[in-house]
Parts: sequence; structure tokens; C-alpha cells
Amino acid sequence: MSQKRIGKELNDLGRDPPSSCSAGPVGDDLYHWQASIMGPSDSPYAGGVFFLSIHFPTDYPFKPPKIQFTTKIYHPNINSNGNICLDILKDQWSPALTISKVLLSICSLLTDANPDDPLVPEIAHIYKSNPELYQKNAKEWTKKYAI
Amino acid sequence: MDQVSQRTQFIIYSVFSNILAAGVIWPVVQSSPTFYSASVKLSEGVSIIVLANWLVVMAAIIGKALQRVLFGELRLIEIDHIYERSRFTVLNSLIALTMFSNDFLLVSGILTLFSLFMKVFHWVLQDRFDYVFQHATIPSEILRTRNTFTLFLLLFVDYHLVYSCVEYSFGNNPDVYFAFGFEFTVLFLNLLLLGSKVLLNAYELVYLKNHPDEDVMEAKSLYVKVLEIIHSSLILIIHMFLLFTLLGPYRYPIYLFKDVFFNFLNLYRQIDSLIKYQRAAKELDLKLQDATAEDLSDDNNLCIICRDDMTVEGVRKGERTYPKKLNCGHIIHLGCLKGWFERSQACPMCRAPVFNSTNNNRNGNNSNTNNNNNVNNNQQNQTPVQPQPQGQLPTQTQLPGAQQQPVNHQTHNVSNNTTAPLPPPPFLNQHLAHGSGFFHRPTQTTNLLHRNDANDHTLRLKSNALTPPDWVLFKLSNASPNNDEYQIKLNGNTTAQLRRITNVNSPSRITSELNKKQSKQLEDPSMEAMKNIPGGISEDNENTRTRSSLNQSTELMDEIRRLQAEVKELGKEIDSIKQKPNSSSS
Repeated sequence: MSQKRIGKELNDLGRDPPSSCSAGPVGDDLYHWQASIMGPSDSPYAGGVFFLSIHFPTDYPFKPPKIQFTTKIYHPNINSNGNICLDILKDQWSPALTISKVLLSICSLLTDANPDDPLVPEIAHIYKSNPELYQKNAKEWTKKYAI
Repeated sequence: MDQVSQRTQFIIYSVFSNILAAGVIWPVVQSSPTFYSASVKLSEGVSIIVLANWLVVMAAIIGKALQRVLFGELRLIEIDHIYERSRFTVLNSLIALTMFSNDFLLVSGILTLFSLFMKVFHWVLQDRFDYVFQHATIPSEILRTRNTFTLFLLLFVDYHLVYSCVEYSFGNNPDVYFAFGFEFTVLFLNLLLLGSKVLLNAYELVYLKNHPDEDVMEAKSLYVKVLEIIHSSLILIIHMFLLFTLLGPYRYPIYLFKDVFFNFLNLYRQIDSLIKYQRAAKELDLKLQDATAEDLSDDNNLCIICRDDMTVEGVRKGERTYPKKLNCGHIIHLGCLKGWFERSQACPMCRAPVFNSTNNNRNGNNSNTNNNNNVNNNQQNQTPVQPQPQGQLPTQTQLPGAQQQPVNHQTHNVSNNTTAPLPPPPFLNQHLAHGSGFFHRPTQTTNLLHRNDANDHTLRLKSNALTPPDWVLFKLSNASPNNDEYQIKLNGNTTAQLRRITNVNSPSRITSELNKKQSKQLEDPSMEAMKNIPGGISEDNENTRTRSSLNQSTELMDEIRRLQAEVKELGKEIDSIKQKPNSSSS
């Protein structure tokens, strides 16, 4: 079941690729993908390319895929291990979601962070109290790790 | 690059540790006359730290080598899991170690390190098998691998660890060995669970090979859930036992409180999930509407869960690939829905609760049955031949004994005629033929009333009672409280329905429907409901149901009314007899 569905998602991605991200399996393991996201132009991440690793559970799509940033990123909802704090990847997961939808959600998370539910409280604090510093730091990290 | 530098770092570190250890041991060996004095010197000051460091390095090297042999190269996610879990486990072990301050620190330390080692191997094996389950297509890909060998090896090692730990601590105070014995028992149980999952997955592949039309083995998730529940309860018991053994004055094994709590929570979740799963499996098919071809015609024929197209053609109802329509209007395969319902009870698309309105439905059904029960209870509480309001047929009583023969005869007739229109129900003929004197009061009666069960009343007549030889009386019960509809039980699996229809234009009509009840039908409440819809007789093939209607003149109705009045009178008579049952014997 999961294998079929992942295969279908892969086909859909090939047929109708989303504009700012791409994804595909690593080697011949259908359950392990790599994805990339272009930093949204209206965010401090603009110009950077961020890589993510995606692990599908055996009971996908009933359980969410495990998605992690492999590129370091300065963001209140993404920690140094690349873990993402996004509700649809946890308890709000629904089998109606696909990898391309999830990647788009991550894109929008890059544009609009959610500092009220942070994974990295320090960054969230800066994001709220000193937006210029946040912008500067994020741009710096992007330049350093993602370009 | 990162990997390589890490490796070189480790090599440099291990070489350094070895040199350091040698540097510590060599002068001691040179200067000490006996082994004993050497060991005493080595267990002092800096030497012990250097040696401990050397031990850790050696353990890491041996572990790495074993990992190469047993698993080969580790996958990224396996390494990830090791790091994720070891942090937690090491912290846990350190807290646990504080419990055993009396014992040798070295022994505790070595045991902790060793158990961490064992755990790492168990985690990797688990991840490895997950990977195998995802990719295997034939059973031998699961069973005939290095992983199975590792599984058996670890089972063997675990067993012996448990055995020696228990043996060592037997008779002593609950000490380090005791606690670690339990730790290894838990590992052993985990392995057993993994082993049974391996067998189950292999069996699934065999099953799928034998049933090429199915793409999942539906019972598998049930088996997995049951196995997991057994496993969790065993682990809960073990932790509870350990907790109560260790709990004593000045000893509070806090880490065990946490374990027991989480085990309990886990077990609760698993049982809850099993119940939900069972409920979903039972109710989804019955409570949800089937999607029709029209529902699927406009391009929403994609099942959002498996991303396959849905169709109603060539799919039998109740199959996994049959599309079901939720109350919010979204259509999903039945099988996919079942999978999702193990985890959530909401529509995957709009998150609307699925069972909300069905609950109402069920309540409705319940109240309906309650009503029926009430009706039955009423009948039971009152006199057996219940006086009915005018214009309704009375509840009749069954006459066993002398009447047995005709009943059988009648049943025979009915079963032969299931497909052809039936002749008018015989008792109506009787009515017409005999007119008054529908019931004959037996002249000599003993024990006139006999109750079979809660809802069943029998009027027992003597064998020489005055009844025409071809008489058949059927038990009549009110089918629904609102309609003039009655059910007649002809025999064990045949019932008839009698309905009075008053029509101003056409002469009154009595319709009788005969149902050959099949066991399947009895289980299916929707079928039951169908019968109660006035005129709702479907020409269902499964449901061998014949229908005969007879048009009778209005005379018939009058006849029936008159008979009712008689029955009413009879009811009163029976009442009076019931009040003094003993005095009636002659």
C-alpha cells in the first residue's frame, strides 16, 4: 500500500513539479527521499537552496513522513539538527497531504515563521524583539550554508 | 568529508588511549613483584581513569567491528536513531546507577555500558527489519538474511544474560545484577515481539501470493496490535515487579516510576487503538453510505488516501476497494478508510467527525429497539391475549400440541412456495370459514396458560378440545408501534408480515409478505429496516421474499373487527382464569 502510494506521488511530482521545490528518492530506496527548497524571495533565505531528507514510515500515508533539514538554517521553528516544528508533520497529519503539499507548507513556514510555538526559543525571541537582527542573522546563515 | 574526519579523529583518539593505557600498565608491571600488588596500584588515582577510558575505547572498537559483521554499513536513519535514543538511555542509566551506590562502581559501570551496547544492537536490528519489511517481496527476503541470524544470536545472548543475572542475584539483596537482569528481560521480550513481527510479515507475503486480488492482509494490523498489547502488558508487569522489589526504606527508584507510568500509558493507547480499530472494522461498512456511480462521475474519483481511481463497477460491496461516501460528502475507499480510522475518526480531507451523525443514527436505532422492547414488555405485563384498540388485529396465541401437525404442513407449503405468489394466509380462510367461534373455550382445562419465555405466551388446550382439525393459529406480534403491521412467525426461519391498508377508493386490502429469513438478514439491521418501510419490498435476489396480496371485500374487515371483539372477550375470560388457576381443575 505505502509503496504504491509513494510511487504515485513520485509520478505526480514528475508530471507536475512544484515551482520552488523538488524531491525524489535517494538511490533505489523508495522510502528515503531527498528534497530541496529554494529560499522564498520575500524572505531572508532568498537565494539559498535548502536540502531536506524525507523518511517514509512503513504505514505511510497513515503516519506522517519524517522530514529534516540537512542544510543548516536560522529559523525559530527549525533547530540545529534540522528538525521542523510543524503541526502537519505531527498530530495534524492527514493522509490527504502529499510530499509536495508538505514542502509548500515548509516554504510558507520560511516566509512566515511561527515564533509563538518555537523550537529554538533564542531565535524566536530575536524574531519578535529585534526583527532586523533576525533578518541579518538569517541572511548570514543562508550565505554561509545554503549558497 | 565530515565522516572521514570523524573517523580519523576516532583513530587518533584510540591510538592515544592505547598508548596511555600501556604507559600506565607497563611501569606498574615492571615495579610490582606480584599480580596482586600490580592490581592494587592500577586501581588507584589516575591509573583507574586511564584504564576506564581504555575500556570505553576498546568497547567502541569491538562494537564497531561487531556492527560490521552483523549489519554491515548502517543507514543514515539508523545512526540518527542511535544518537537520538542513546542520549536518553545514558541519562536514564546514570539515574539508575545512583540507586546502587553500595555496589562496586566498576561493576555497575561495565554493566551499564554493556546494556547500552546491547540496546544499540537491538535498535539497529529493529530499524533493519523495518527496512526489510518495506522492501521484501518474497518471504525468503525476510527470513533468509543476516538479520535473522542476528536476531537469533541476540535472543541467545539475551537469554543467557537474563539467566546469569538472575542466578547471580538470587539469594542476595536486590542489587545491580537484579536490576540489569530485568533490563535484559525487557530486551529479550522486545526481541520476541520483533521475531513474531518477522514471522507475521513473512506470512503476509505468502498470503498475498496466494490471494493475488488483495493488496494488503487486513487481519495483519489486528495481529500486530494484539502482539503489541501482550508485549506491553508483560513489560508493565516486569517494571511493576521491579519497582515493588526495589522500593524500600530510603530507596525510591524514580526512574522506574517513569517507566511504569509510560508503560501504562502505552498499554492504554494500544488497547484504545485496538478498540477503535475493531469498531471501525465493524461499523464503517454498515454505517456509511455507499458511493454511487453518479457521485464518482465528475472528476473526484481519486481516493485521497491511496491515490488510486475509484469505481463502483466490478467491485462488490464490502470489499476494500469499494468507495464509501462520508457524511461530509467526501468519497474514499472502504479499505483506506479503515486504515485511517485506526488513528483518527475524522475525515482526512475536512476533518469533520465521521461518526457524529452515525451516532445519532445509532441512538435512533436504539430508541427504536427500546420501543419494540417496550411493546414486548407491555405485552408481557398485560394479559397474554391483549385487548387491542378497535381496528387493530389482536395478538394471537400459539397452539402447540394438537396443532403441531398442521403447522408443519403449512411450513412445508410455505417453503415450497417461496418464489411463487402465496395463497391467502390460511388463518384468514379459517376466519371466513368459521366465522364466530374463532376460539373455542376448552371445556376441561388444566394449566391453561403457559409461558415459554419473556415474550412468548402460549395457550395450551387439551387434546380433546374443540378445534377444527385443520386449524392453524399463528403468533402475531406488533411489528412497529405506529403502523398497523404485524409479524407472524410461521416457523424457525420463516416469518410473514401482515399489514392493513385502508384505502378509500379501493376496497381494503390485506397484504401479507412472507420472508424467508436468512441468518445473514438477521444480522443486517438495514434489511430489517427495509421491511418496516410501508410498501418497501425490494426485489432483492438475496432476499428470497415473496409477496402476495389479496383483495378482499370490505366484508372481510368487518369480519376481522368482529373477531377482535371476540378475542377481547376471550382475553377477559383468560384473565379471570388466570386469577384462580388452581380452582379450575376438576
